[in-house]
Amino acid sequence: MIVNDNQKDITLINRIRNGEKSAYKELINRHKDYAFTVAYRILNSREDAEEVAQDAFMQVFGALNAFNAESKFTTWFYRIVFNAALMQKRKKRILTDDIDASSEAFMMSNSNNSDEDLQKKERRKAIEKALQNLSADDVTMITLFYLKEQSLEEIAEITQISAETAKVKIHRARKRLAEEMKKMLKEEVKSLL
Amino acid sequence: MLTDEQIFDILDGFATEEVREQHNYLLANSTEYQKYFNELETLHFDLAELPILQPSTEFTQNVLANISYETAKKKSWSEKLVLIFISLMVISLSLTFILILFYVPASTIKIDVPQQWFEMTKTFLTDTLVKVLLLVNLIVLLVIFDKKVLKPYFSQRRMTLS
Repeated sequence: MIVNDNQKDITLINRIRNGEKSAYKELINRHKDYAFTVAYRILNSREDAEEVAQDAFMQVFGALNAFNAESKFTTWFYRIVFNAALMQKRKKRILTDDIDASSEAFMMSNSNNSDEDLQKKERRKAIEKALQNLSADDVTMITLFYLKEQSLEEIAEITQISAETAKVKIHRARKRLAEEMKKMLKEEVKSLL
Repeated sequence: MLTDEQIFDILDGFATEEVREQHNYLLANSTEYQKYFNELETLHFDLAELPILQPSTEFTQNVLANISYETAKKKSWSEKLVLIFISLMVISLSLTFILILFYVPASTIKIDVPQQWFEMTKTFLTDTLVKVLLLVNLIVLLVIFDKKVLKPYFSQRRMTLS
């Protein structure tokens, strides 16, 4: 499955290299959601995330001739997205707290309203909020690990650290997230009393 | 009790046989561990189910529009470069022609130039002026070299490294 996905990317890249513009559109459509999500999780702003993801695609297009077809396209591309988002974060140092309003409308979720679904939705909301209080590094690790189930080696390559360090960082990020959620829950209980 | 790292290893499927056995034992005998494990397990599965967000509907169009813009920008720069180059060549040729006219021995070519105009021009056409012109040419060459060779090379290199 993963190999096939990469083969598809390589085919599209070759078509772009041959001057086929429609192939670039296909490549954008294949990766825009994930690129946007990674950028959004780091930046907490739709506008900035969109800008960063667009810039990343522009960079990719500009450097496509330098891309080595032997390597995995997504690893190279996500590294560009990740670096661009971190740079933007450093540049702006923004923290937007209206995630509920901005992200929920765009989530790919079904509208089943059973109790279990509602509970899940609540938990998801809590996670989204807790993620905002984590560092960009922690959020990136969690996003890369869970959203597309990247292997530790791929995450290591994207973030330019060793696989062992990546593993430790993912563990710590999840621990901090759990703690953050507990803290939030306590505060919620306090406010109810 | 297992460490958090060990619990996450179990959830990720990286745990050793020994850790898994310990985990099974604790799960069966410790309610405290059971509670803590359930907490992390719920978080693990919730994270795995986090939705992928979608950018605006114009996203693809915006990227494509910027690509054509970039290309157009490049084209206009190369057109400008040609014009600059031709202008520089015309200026250089005119200056060379004037220099030759005033530096060749008077016996070979006779040009009837008004004395006043000749004197005025001669004061400008000194060795210093030639040196200044050479320097200007050198700077122009370096700027072109920087724009056309060095900048693309380093931006490509930055892209590859990143």
